[in-house]
Amino acid sequence: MIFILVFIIFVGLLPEGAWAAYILDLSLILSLTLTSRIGVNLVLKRSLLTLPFILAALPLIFWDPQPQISIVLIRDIEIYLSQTGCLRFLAITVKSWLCIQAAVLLTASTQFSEIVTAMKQLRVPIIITSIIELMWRYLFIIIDEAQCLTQARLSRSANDHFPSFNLRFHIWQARVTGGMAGSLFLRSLERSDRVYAAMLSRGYSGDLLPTEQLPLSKGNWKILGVGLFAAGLILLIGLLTGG
Amino acid sequence: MDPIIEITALSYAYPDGKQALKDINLTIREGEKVALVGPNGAGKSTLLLHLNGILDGRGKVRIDGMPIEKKTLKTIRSVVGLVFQNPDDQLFSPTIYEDVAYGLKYQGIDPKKVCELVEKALLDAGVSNLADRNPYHLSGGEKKRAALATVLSMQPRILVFDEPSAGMDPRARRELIELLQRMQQTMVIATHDLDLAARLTSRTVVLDSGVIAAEGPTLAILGNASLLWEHGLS
Repeated sequence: MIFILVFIIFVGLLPEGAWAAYILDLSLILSLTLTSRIGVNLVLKRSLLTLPFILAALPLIFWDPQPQISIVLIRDIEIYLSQTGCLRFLAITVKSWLCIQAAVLLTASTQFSEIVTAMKQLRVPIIITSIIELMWRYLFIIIDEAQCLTQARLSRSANDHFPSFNLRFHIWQARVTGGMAGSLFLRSLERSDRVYAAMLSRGYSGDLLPTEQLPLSKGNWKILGVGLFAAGLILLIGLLTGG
Repeated sequence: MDPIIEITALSYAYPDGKQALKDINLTIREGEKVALVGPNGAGKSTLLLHLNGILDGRGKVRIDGMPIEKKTLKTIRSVVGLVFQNPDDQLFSPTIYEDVAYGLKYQGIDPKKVCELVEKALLDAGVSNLADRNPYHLSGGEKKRAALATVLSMQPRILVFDEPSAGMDPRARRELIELLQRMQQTMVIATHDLDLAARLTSRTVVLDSGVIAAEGPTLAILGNASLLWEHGLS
């Protein structure tokens, strides 16, 4: 986890146009993926999560400062692209793609409870780790409840008299969905009350449990050291070759 | 045997004004196994939540001679083990082991002793093989037994169950009954399952609309067809 965090920070610090460093970082992540036997395909597929970041960076192509290149789309319609913007956009795309790949590698290769334990070891405030733990525990139960509600609605949705598009029908359907969301919220609220009662029953008084410290083994320290050294070296190369 | 649970003139109304319990008087002796039966909404779960101070109604509740108040809550919650109806409410940690250890760690018990007690509780509840599993992936019966282990680890003298056999298949239900038959603790079991009550308890209390409608030996109560009919139990 420390390695992935440092890797993400180092990738973030890389300047634009440090293409050699980007390629080295990509090969580092891909070789780790191969070693972890998760499957490069899975990591690449999940790294599509980068899309929102890419979309957010897209306006840079048009809005960044001069020099601008003009492209004529059709007669009388031309758009201006900023050269610096294009470079920044490409750098953000590659960097966010690398960071997401690293995060995917961590989540796919490590059990959730181990990630939370690592967060606790890294002194992430206990209130945050507890919230994450409870969220993870109950997320699936809430998803199950949502599925039950959807199934119950579908089982009673046998009416096909409505034409394919009917505004009133869709408004009514949206209201039903809104009601379902409300009902899900109430169920979750009631459940949280019951979970809290179960915690109280076992002595919970508002203070959170202290974290147990599990030291890293010598072998793990060595692996961490080599990983950090490689990531640091790539950052150095990036800083020397980048724009 | 000395009384371990003494409830005197207990009444409770929910914040929305609904009167859930009215003037409840009940004494349970150490080692006794008592069934609490009644229709839905009779106040069974509300009464159970008073036994370890989660709800605080008007009247008196004494556990092992201690009145339920702020300074005795910690001790009382280690004496009374409450097993909730829905095990998903009770199993809130990422693994069963952590959940079973939760109450003990919270008491600040030495980690070695925690390990020992957790293993014993898992063994007693028959879920040693599930220690590292996530509660979400367990079957209903397994979850129920794991929820029991979370309570057993704290070595409570009183075990309180809310609908222990609800939603269980016949085999899981039979295994649960056999497991509970082996336990020596005082038990209060709120249930609709009259067969379970007959097999596990010696005394039955019928609760209806927040009041105790009848009380007596389980076989006598369950043999009274008109009483059961009147209170929606048959």
